[in-house]
Amino acid sequence: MSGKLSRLLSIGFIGVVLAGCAAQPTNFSSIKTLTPSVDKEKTIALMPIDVQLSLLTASGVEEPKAEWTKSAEQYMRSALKDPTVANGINFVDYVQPEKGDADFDALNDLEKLHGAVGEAILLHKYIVPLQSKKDKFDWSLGTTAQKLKARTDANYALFLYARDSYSSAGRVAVQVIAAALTGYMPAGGSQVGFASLVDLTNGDIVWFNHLNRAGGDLRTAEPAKKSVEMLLTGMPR
Amino acid sequence: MGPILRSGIIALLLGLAACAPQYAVVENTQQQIGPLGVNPTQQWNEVPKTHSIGRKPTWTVNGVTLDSLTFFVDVKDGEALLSSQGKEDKSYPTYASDMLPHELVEMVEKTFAVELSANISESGELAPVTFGGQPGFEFEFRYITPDELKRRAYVIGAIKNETLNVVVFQAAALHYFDKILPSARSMLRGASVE
Amino acid sequence: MRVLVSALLITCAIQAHGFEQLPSLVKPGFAPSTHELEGGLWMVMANAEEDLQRSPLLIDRPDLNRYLMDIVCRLVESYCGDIRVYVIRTPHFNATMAPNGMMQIWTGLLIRVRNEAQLAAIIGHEIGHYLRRHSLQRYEDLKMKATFSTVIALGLGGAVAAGGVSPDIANLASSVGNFALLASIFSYSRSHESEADKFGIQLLDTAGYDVDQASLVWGQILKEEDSATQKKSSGSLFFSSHPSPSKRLETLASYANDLTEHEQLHEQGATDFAQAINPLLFTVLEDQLNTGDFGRSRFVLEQLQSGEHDQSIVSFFLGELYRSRNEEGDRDRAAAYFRQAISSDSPTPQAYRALGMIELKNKNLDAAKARFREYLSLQPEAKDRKMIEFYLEY
Repeated sequence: MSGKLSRLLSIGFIGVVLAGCAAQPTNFSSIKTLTPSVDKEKTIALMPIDVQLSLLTASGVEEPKAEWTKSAEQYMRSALKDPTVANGINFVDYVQPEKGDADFDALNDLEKLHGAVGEAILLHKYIVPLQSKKDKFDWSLGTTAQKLKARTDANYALFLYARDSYSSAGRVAVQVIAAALTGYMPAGGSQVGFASLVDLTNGDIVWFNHLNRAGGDLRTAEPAKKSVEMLLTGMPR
Repeated sequence: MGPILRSGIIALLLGLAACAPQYAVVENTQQQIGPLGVNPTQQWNEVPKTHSIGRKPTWTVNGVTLDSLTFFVDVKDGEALLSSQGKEDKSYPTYASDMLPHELVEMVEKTFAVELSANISESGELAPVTFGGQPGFEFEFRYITPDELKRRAYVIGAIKNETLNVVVFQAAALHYFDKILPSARSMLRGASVE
Repeated sequence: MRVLVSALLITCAIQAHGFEQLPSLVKPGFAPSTHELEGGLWMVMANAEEDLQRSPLLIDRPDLNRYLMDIVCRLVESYCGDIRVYVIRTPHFNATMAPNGMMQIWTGLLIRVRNEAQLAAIIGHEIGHYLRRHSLQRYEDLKMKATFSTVIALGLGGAVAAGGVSPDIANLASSVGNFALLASIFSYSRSHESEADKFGIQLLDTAGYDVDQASLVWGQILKEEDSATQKKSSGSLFFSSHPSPSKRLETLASYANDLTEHEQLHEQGATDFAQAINPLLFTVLEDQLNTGDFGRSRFVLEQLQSGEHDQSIVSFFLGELYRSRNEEGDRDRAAAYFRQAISSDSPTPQAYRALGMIELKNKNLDAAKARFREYLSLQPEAKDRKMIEFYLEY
């Protein structure tokens, strides 16, 4: 079914799994600095932010929260445009093409390919290395990315993905009981996400980072800004 | 409700927690897969059996979510490309040594459709070719997996002494297929069959 | 006072028929507040719907969509703007309704219902879920019941298969994932199913469709299950959570019995239905055969033989079914169907090729070549041209 729904389904898993990978580096890049546009400006197209916030109820079911999600998306967007975060980079919004647009299929396919490439990176850079890429970081979306460049006038595109869950009071109580009975503490709300930067001249993924922590709060402006800063850690400037 | 790729990966990751299998490099020297000999011309990684379709010998360049090359060798009359043992809800088409190339195409496509719950969106070019010194066939098809990624496959094979050897290269239709196909195809067209 | 009297009269009228109408629990144009749980569910579904609109598995045929929306509007005119129908390319019998009015109909359903009234019965049933707000109730119910099984199940692990993830594993993962949310959307409880059945048939009745068709759908599904080669279809998330088809058949038949005392038009709409389905019949049947279930495919095809669908396509796939099974006598059976397919006014070109292949195997070289030439003349751009030319040089 839907990509977003499936991503929602796996949030719990990501948290559990990546928690065990602390020793690994969190971000990979193949460039040191960004190439500015002709007018000397460093422009990055901001792809639709894939974010969802939910409340972790006592039984472990995640209850999606529309209001929280809406504000989180806004907070993340404005954080990116905050001078202290943007730090000279001009973030421009990318608008998905409507049906009937000549690029509709190509750009949809490109976003889906990015999903599969992101999975390959998560799998083969953080969990099970591909021997041939052990010392390389050379995944790409190919030249279709130039269509994005043509539409946004940006040299790069940034994809952000974040899932945030919070423990309800009932959940906290259950955690304590479960720990006492089984010695296992179910995860009690967490923040996971990843960010990837694509060079729109050739489609290469030039930088990738993932975030996984027990704390954090995207429901309010300041902590949301903090999360965005963490997601962007190590991004070439 | 179709399969969910990302959850699948995560499930995989959990399975790996204890003993992570390796994706070892395939050396660029003659490789023997059953009766099939090939000379790789680019850097492939060997996919661990637990991550490959039906535990068949499989290689990848960029990772299994993006591209793979799977060898189905020594398929005997009456056998399917994949074993349905433990998968009672699946029935794979079986091979018969008197099959015409068109029927072999259909068998490969159907096997993929059943195994991956994929929709075959288009059968492409089908042409005669020499494979391992035998008159064989090569063809392409496009399919969509339930993660909604459009994929393309290139297939080459031949029947020798009533035994079928067939190799399937598949990759994301965007970028990856075109990028890897030339080297995969020239390697496979130059394969030897014992 | 007059209001009260007429209200009583309605009640009496209904009781006389033994069928008590279920009221809608949703107002036309309804949208929940984003502060509430229901708002959260709608948000998730709105996101899913956006993805769906960009899905390559979405069947994008404006005329078919208009046809389906016409049925929706005929069933519930005042909610016509609140419900959106999407046709998804999946070869199994299913339809779903999300809390926000997004309805999905799988292509496998379209070749299993026999006329517009049967299709309307399913659509009415799904509308019933929406108007009775079942997903919200379902979600709240599951939230209470969910246990640590999720956490325990995490240890099972799994594997990824190259070429796309093996569905077994992905299904496993999704079933232990945020199960409640998934279930809240895709499988309602048995009592909800029964209620939606009832709601559906009452809509069918008011819209003037033949109410007997609702139970007939389940009769067909039962027969298909009997003829299935693989009894547990991978698409049958369905049977685990739903009331048994035989129970539904019985209840729906008794509702129909109560309702037919009304004086209504009782339309079946077989012709319109076949015309709406014909443009995608080839693809949908190809997908059906690709499921590899001989018994189900044969059942579906034989049922289509008595419909008003394009019979050349139906005969072609019956031929394909036997040709690919290839048991004793199948080659002759297949050939007979292919001959039927090409005797049509608008023959399916692939039937010539298929016949050519059979002749080739039967060593009738000249006959084979003649068929292949006919195929190429009908399909000069055929992608398999080189291989066909190779056969011609035999």
